[in-house]
Amino acid sequence: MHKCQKCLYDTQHPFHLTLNDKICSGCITHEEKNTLDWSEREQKLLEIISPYRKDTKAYYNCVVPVQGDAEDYYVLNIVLSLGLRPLVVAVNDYFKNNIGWYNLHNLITHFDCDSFVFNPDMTVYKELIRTTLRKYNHMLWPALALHSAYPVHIAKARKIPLIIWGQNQALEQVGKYSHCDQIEMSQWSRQEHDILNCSLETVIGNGAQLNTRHLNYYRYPNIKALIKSRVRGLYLSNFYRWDPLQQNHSMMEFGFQPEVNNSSFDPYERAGSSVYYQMHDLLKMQRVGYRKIRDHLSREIRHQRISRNSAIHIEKYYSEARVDIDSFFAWLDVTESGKRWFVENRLQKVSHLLASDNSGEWVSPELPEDITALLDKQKASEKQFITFGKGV
Amino acid sequence: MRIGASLLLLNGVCYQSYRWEMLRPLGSLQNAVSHLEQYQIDEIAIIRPVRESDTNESLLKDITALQQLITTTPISFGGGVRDMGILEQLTSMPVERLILSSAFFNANQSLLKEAAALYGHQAIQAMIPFKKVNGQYVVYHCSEAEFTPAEALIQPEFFQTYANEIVLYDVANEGVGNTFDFEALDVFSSLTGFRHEQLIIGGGVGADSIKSAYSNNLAAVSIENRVLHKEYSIEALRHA
Repeated sequence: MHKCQKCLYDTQHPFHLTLNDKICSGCITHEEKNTLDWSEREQKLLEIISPYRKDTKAYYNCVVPVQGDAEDYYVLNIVLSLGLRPLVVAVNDYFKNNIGWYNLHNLITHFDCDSFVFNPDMTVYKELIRTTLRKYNHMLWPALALHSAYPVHIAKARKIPLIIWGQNQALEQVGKYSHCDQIEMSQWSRQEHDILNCSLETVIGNGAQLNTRHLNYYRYPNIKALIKSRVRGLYLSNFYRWDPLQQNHSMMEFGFQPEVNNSSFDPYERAGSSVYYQMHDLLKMQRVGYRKIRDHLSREIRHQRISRNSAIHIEKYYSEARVDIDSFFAWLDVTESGKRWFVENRLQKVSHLLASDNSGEWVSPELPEDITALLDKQKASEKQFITFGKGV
Repeated sequence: MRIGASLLLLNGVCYQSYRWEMLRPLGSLQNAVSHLEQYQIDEIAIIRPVRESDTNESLLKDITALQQLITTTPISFGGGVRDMGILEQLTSMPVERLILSSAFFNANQSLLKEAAALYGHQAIQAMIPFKKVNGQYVVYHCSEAEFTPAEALIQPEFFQTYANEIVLYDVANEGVGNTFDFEALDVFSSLTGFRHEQLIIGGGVGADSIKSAYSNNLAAVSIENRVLHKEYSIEALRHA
């Protein structure tokens, strides 16, 4: 294992990364943000979308997949400013808390867009979560599979030619591509990055108690059919200088509500999830040896809002944050003995981080002013695991 | 003309190379190959970018990845194939063609004879990584880790005796689309004695390059990094 001299990543990152003169590919690619002509890049985007904007036959000319994240606000704002006519598509992962549902409904209300939310069959969904927990120590695989495939099904079925995504995570984290490569959505990229290189067939194998005819939306559409439809997925981070903390902070003007959590200083990314900074974060630590805080700190190092030394210290602090897993296992209908088995056999490396609840005093570490200036008005959630949220 | 893709494999993982200067990760070999098959690529060249050094550990990881590969697409394999032992190991793998580079520059007759005996002459491809420096074409000798003027390194009789096709790899434009140096075709054709119909190009291949490749009657193109960057890249390039 070799570490980057600049950020906190090392060569064991699950997306892989390379070191060039001891600096990782992620940091090198990030430097493009400071040298590229972003007005020129926006111009390229306008050229790409021009034929779609001009085509007035279809009512919608793009799908915008959302979760209710601050990034979704940013993406939708840009999409509308570009003159595109979006259909907003969300998948209910059943993990939203009251802040999550508020943010999703506020997004749709504020931007006044047509939208719908897909609610997957709960029995199938939970069985898939149990399967991926057993096989891969991962609980978000079904949600990720749906979020990355369902909008493509909708775009293909309704003949909507574009899908607009925000950031390309592999580019942003490990510099897997240059911004100039203008990477687009693809089945290959989805399998490699979104669903841990595990196809649905690999996941279900012969162990899951599932009828495959219920699993269509967990699969990417057939490539031959997709080629005929020419549905195309663009990443805005190839065309706009992407700075998540800065842009997410600015989304509060549209009513986005950040959520305080004790696993990271970032209150914007995946705010409103009952699991992202809890069970999912714990499992990530167990699987790959670090928590989400490392992604956030590496990002801020690259944006020069924190030094590497300070980041190392802060990562240690947040990595010790306790996690309540009881509510997740209760939601998943796992028995007490099943939960005990899982803790003893699958959470050995992180068992010291388990807590019976998330209450208790938590004091935020001291953060640089450049970061704290972008953090404010965070709230704690009041109710977790809301299956169907109503109203704003 | 065949539309192929090239994948760089090192320590069991695929990489992308930009202008021979920077490596970026790509991911799983099986995932890349499976999707290239779905996208109906004609052939896949799996190359180990062992430009300066190689280790047995690295070679073992790559051979293991190759052994586990499930594919029906023709595979060419090369990079660090410098002794008989490796040649023999590869015969039990899904490899249809061999890509050799240093063996040709070193005039390693015994290795080339053995390769031809094991695989057949039709399966041997010679790779010439090149770039233009101050108006002169130089070629990269992998085992020596240096660029040498092309005329000094290429022995046409070895190429003609042992290679069926030549892969001309433009290292200066590698990873960047539509920039392959077509002026090199006639230069290397003349140096090696190979006709255009026996040449494959790689490095900087995009839609415009493929049009030029068709008009030059080349044997094949081998698209590097960008082949997986977009959903319909291969289908679009096929109709370029």
